[in-house]
Amino acid sequence: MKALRRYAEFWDQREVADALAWVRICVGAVMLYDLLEIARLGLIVPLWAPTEDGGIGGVTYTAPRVLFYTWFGASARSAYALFSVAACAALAMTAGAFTRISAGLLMFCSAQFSALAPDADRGVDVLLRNALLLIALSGAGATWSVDARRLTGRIAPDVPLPAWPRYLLIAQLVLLYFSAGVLKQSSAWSSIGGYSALFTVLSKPHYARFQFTHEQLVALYPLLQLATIGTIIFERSAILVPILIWLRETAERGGRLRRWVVKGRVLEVWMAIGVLFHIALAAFTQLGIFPWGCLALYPALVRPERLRARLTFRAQGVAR
Amino acid sequence: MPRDARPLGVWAKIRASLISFVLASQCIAAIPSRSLTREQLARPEGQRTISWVASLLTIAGGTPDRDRAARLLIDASRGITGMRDAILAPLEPVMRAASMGQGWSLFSLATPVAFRIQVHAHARSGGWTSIYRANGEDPLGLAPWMTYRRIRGLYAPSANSGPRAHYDGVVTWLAQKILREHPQFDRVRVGMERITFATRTEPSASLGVEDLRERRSELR
Repeated sequence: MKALRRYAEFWDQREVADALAWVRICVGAVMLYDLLEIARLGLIVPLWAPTEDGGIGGVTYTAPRVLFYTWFGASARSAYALFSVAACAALAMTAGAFTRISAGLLMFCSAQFSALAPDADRGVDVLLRNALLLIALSGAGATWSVDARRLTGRIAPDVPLPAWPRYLLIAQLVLLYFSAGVLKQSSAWSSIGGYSALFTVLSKPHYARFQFTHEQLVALYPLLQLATIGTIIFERSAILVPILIWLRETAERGGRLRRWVVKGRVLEVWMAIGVLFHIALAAFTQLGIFPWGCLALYPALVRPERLRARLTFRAQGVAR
Repeated sequence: MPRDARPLGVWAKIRASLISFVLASQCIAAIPSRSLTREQLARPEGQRTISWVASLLTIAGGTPDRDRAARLLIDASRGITGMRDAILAPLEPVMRAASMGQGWSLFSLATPVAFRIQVHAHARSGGWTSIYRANGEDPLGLAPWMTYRRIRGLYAPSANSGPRAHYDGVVTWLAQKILREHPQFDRVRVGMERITFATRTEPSASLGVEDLRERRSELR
């Protein structure tokens, strides 16, 4: 009973809202950028309009497939309307205006896009939708937001919030990395294939950003082997992140392991490797917003009090 | 307000239960939905797993029977995916409506081949010209469209499943775009070149072009 009580107490903890607020800002910014890119490339109609109006996704006037088109009719005009709602919701969520509604609306639009063109919906879209649900359910708009300004007169008030949405975002990151790491079972990711996975990825024309010659890739081979091993270790070690966070949060209890984790900044090192990993992905592959979508969840890993101390200190510095 | 200062209400207990349910269901959703096949186990990594299981069987007092180990792996995998599907079945409508999931098979490189999209255009004056090759020539500047992740998702095939469902739609859209913006062409041909993965000793080699589609200028 005592354990159950402590378990319920764990999910009932409160903390300052800053980490969730920065996840909200980063997720909103990444999604807004992606939507603007779609508009810039003129892909609203090809991706989401009915076939009769020039769409690719297979929706037709008579088979609208999604709620939005059932309500408003399947047409290119509806595709533009859905896109506009999504873009406004992304902008509002990033700014923290009517945050719960805008996050919920953005999630709805994103799910509609997914149903309109399932093959065009990638892993990062699923990841961001999962995050949007948590943002909508949390108080992520309580600080660093237009909502905070409207309600308290300050942009970044010190607001305590339930911590569970942040813990679930951490769980999402852990599940993403660990699952991706464990599913990398092909020989290229192991000693059987000489840890050649990243060499192979950079040889894939649809994903590589640069056209390396075979000789150039061979010259980089040892480095790519190291990076492959590093990727596997980084992804699979994500399962340890909750333990590292717990050891960091309970540093006052002492003990050799806690001291080592805190002094050695083990969690911070893991995060730094993650940031480098995603920047390298963005630099060498063409995965669109995937690296940035993952990094958008990283503020959840930072202690909110620490984030608040740093950001408000900086903001005060700028104000002076 | 720090946790200790407040009494634990009924809502806190309900919330803890709901969160546990969500966490458990999402962890189960991360289990692959497809079970292991004989073909997968025939690959080097599958053979290694069979060796491990066969060794475990030996430790447990059995004979090092590789065929039994393979059967055991396939049966266990089928059992797990079956259980996964059964547990998630009540949540399926919600997960589908919200397009949520936890399948994170990222760059698993499970097949030994890749593809490279090729686009050729036929000039009105005669002759075919290569106008786009993934990570290669791109005289018309099509890369921003062709490399945009959502469009790539519509045309880039997986090794065994043939062309994507909307491949023909992509070809039609691309041809319309090219023929509208470059009236010197009257036909566009799109194909997928199947290539082997490069190795340290061998560069990737072409295995031929598949899924050839042609569109004419009447489309404009």
